[in-house]
Amino acid sequence: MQINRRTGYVLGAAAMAAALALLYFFAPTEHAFYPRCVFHSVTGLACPGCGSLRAVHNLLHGELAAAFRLNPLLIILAPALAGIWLVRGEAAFASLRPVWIWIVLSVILLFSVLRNLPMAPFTYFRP
Amino acid sequence: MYKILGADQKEYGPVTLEQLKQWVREGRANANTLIQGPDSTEWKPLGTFPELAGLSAAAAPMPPAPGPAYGTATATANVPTYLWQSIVVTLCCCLPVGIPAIIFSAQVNSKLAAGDLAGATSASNKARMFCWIALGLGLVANVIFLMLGMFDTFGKIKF
Repeated sequence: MQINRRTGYVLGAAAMAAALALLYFFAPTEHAFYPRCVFHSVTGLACPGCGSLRAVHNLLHGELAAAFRLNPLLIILAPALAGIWLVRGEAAFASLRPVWIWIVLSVILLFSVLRNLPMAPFTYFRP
Repeated sequence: MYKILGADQKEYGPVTLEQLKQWVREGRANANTLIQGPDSTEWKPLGTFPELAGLSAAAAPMPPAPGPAYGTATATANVPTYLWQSIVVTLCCCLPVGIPAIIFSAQVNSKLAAGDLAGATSASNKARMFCWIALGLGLVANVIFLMLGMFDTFGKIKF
């Protein structure tokens, strides 16, 4: 693994760029080839990741508000994780205080519950 | 034969047990150095190998300081937490299997902070295992659902 680290980064970056290009040109709402959420299909509930593909599509087209509405968690969490990873590297995650991980886990679980509640402010964030 | 991961993050070896012991005596390797055992492809700290543990403890001039040591050092860099991977699989693949991955990932951090390198390595391996299971389940379930045409049960909401 270590010996191929650079190759891994190059392949990862290429795959990411390809995925983003795909998401930019093909709207997930209009094309059926995208993976779908099994959790949603089975339960009818929105999982914490539901809406991510559409949110990224909107984001790539500069529609931040629409993206935030589809998946606010992704719009906050993804840049935070990517920022830590890019600036301080993988090792930064090992030196993170455990309490931050419990906070992130709680936020994910809370978000999963809230976005499925059938009342006013929460239905706004239903993907 | 053993393989060793240098401070430069490069792989060295395979080398014999004798050679490895020699390196420990010379201070070129210590209890935190990652080693791949003879029958394994897994990287584990040298201190967790019984055949080397006594030697490295005797050779190590300074044992790790007790108590929290966040952000310190070489030891933490060598045990991956799989935190971002766990979060990604939780959101994208499989919520129920992703959550244990995040929990084990948090344990890597707390055990590293407590100086428990072996415990951290074990938690790290578990986190990685749950990440792969979540990814695998997500992909397999997606393919099955796609083939059976089961996605339209609850309307057309996509991922």
